[in-house]
Amino acid sequence: MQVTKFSKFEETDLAYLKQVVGQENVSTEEAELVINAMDSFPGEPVKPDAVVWPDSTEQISKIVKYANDRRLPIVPRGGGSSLSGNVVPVHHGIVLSFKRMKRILEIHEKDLQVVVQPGVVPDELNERLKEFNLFFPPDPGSSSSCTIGGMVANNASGMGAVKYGVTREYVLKLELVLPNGQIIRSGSNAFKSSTGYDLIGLFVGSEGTLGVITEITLKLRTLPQTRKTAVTYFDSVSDTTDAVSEIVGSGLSPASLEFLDQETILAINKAERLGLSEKTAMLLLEFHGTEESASHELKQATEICKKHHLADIHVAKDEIERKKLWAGRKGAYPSLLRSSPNTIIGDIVVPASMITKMVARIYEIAANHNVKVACFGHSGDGNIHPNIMADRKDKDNWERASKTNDEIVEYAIKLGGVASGEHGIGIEKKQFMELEHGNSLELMKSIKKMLDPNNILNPSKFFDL
Amino acid sequence: MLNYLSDESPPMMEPKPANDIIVVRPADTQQVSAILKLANEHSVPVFARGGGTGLVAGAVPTRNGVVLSLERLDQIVVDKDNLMTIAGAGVTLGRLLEAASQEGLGFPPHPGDENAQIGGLVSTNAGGARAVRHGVMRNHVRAVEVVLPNGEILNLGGKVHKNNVGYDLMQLIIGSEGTLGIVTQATIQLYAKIGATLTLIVPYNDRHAAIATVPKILQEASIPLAIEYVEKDLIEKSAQQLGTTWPVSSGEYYLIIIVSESSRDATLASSLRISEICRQKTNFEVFAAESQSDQDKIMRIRSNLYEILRPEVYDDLDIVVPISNLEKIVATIEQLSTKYRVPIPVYGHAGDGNLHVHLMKKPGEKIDYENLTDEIYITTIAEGGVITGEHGIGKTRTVKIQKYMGKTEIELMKKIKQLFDPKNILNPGAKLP
Repeated sequence: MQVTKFSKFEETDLAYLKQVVGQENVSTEEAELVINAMDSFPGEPVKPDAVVWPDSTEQISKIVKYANDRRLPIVPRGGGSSLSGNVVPVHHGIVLSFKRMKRILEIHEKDLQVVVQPGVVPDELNERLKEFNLFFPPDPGSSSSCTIGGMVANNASGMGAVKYGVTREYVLKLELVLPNGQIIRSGSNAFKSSTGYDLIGLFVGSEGTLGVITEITLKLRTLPQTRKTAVTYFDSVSDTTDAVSEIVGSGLSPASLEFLDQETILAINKAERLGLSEKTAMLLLEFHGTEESASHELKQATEICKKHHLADIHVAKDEIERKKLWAGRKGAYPSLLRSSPNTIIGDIVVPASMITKMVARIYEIAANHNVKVACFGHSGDGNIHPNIMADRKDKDNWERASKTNDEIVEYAIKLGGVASGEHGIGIEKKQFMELEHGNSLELMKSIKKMLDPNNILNPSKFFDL
Repeated sequence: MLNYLSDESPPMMEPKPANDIIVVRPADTQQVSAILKLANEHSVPVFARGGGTGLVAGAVPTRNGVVLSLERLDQIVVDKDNLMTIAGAGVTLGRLLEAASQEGLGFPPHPGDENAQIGGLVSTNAGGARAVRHGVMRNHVRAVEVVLPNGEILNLGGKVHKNNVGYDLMQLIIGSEGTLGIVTQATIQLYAKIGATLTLIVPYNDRHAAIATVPKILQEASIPLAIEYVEKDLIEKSAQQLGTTWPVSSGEYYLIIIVSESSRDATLASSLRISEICRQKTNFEVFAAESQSDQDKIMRIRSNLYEILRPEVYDDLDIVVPISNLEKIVATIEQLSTKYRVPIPVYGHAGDGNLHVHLMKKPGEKIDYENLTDEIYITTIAEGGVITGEHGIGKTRTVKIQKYMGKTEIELMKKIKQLFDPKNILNPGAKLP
């Protein structure tokens, strides 16, 4: 841990915050502090000194400037669904919550754009956009509770990334408050721009360490005319993963290509009574497009699965069936959480050709350390979530589980992959930064120091200065 | 030597190169690193050079120093299983397409001149006609190897699409026009080869009807590979110069739409749908080219437009606006053409709101460049657009961009430049206001 030079939170600080946002929008209540002490990773909770609910960019600017002058840490927090300790206020200080900034400000359907405040929940946004036949594609598992601001800060993606990419590709304009309180706006409503440096590219995925996001203009897509969904079952994991590699390698463009192993299937069936076939592994495939192109592509993908000893296939007949399958898939992580006291969830990405090797090695490493692991994930991107079942209270078990996680990451990097495809660094993946980046790490630290010389914005995330 | 002192900027806009220039052609990244290290120690400006196809003097060495050509970094490897290619900065787009094709793969984004080199395509974040469906270069670059001014070699990104492990420095490098580092290699995503395509030419008598059709296509049909806007006079001249004819005689304004789906049936179905949408705003028949040679001919005629204009182009503006505001900007440009008595032929990538606006000047004529461009840019910005969508700032737009970028943003840009290149040796005079 770095030597911190943060100030102690005083009564005068509390008074100032109350003055800026109104006293009903600041809390130092124990219950509130406890909620904001953690995210969805089973790590060490650290309570903030206060939680604040601003409702405008100007209020945020004032608060950040004040915190900077006072050397008080600030942690912006969306839905708190992050999985790497990204929003844990490790140095106490102020948590900025966006629950009062949830408005969809403007919808420009002709230009396929929408302007939102950071607290908007993606599922709610997409519900609203349906009437315009538009949608915001990045679709993380937490889409019913996370926020657009959090998705931008974390460069979130999810089920559809294999076709639709990641959040960064959808951010047209950003308004942020810099650590010194200055408000900066970058980007435009144009779909292409060759003007300045890609500041948006820098801020997206910066996990709240370079600026506080206060307004976002997103690019949207037209809802697909047709969605063809199927589940394919296999009797061996390697058949399943080989099928994935070949589907990706064939140049087909699935909208989703999700992998679930038996452990995951069992957990989902238990929790959701979905009735998925309890084979060794399955793929949930979906193709978007016109009736002709989506059908054509699904057919081709099925042929590839057959080449890899497809054991069973079920094509969703209608929207109801399709929704059920997706509810099941999205319930994978919550279902697995019920299977053990805690889980360590990994987020590795490997090149498509390495998926079979990677997944096989995950099971090996877990077996070596005598822990149980369930794998599921966005295999189309080479992004697998190994769910290591563990018990925080059992020190020995937790250590073995952590070692398993570490070795999985190291192997992924060895195969040319990365430690995190979606969940980001936060606290839990800081240990891999050196291995990942080598000499680029110094440049990243310089950027942080340049923008946040007092290190008040979400300090001790990413790296220690 | 002359070849290394100039690019394809409109001759009347292009700045003069400096007198004292050395051209070096390193063989590999290590040599690039050694050269930069040395130049940095002696504060000698270094101007990176790729294919020299830029339009805003990005590659023109305007100060005494070194032109560093990347042309010899021309190795290319295709990783077929992972649909990626690792290409040296000196590999041309043409060569990349060929290498991909040999492995049964394609690169549909096709962001520009086939003589452009990878280093330049990445550094300018090239766009092109396919951006409406495939976006710009940034969407397809997965990793870069870049040399910093102090000689340090950075490897950013990886053979993966999703990568959330820190600040995405690669995004800063892409589009930085050789001012933060010199790209020596890039890992680029490849795709399935384009299947069946169909090229439609939709004639209109009303320019506004033509442009208004564009958002409708994007909202109501499957996104085409390209939607280009051209006008009769110019397109016919272009065809003539190539010794051929424009296949459509009716109408004054045209949308060229390239339809491409995963199968022939799907392509036909999409084409019918798009034609239906177009016919809501025009009475003319939609012309469809099916054979590869017919389709290639149409795109050749389209690509030749700049050549027709070049001798008398004073400047070629590259504005982008949200598509629903395309009509407004086209109308404004018409008015300004009359007001300033300057012919302003317009054509471009209507599908993403990007128009190339050519300010023409015959010898002996005068042109109030400053005020005319200001009026065009002010309208562009007011419509939510930007003053350059693909060509970049280079050296010819640095003064203008100062007016149209926020103060805080400019400040931040300068700080980033200072961090990467404290001695300002990389392409000085370019990019930054």
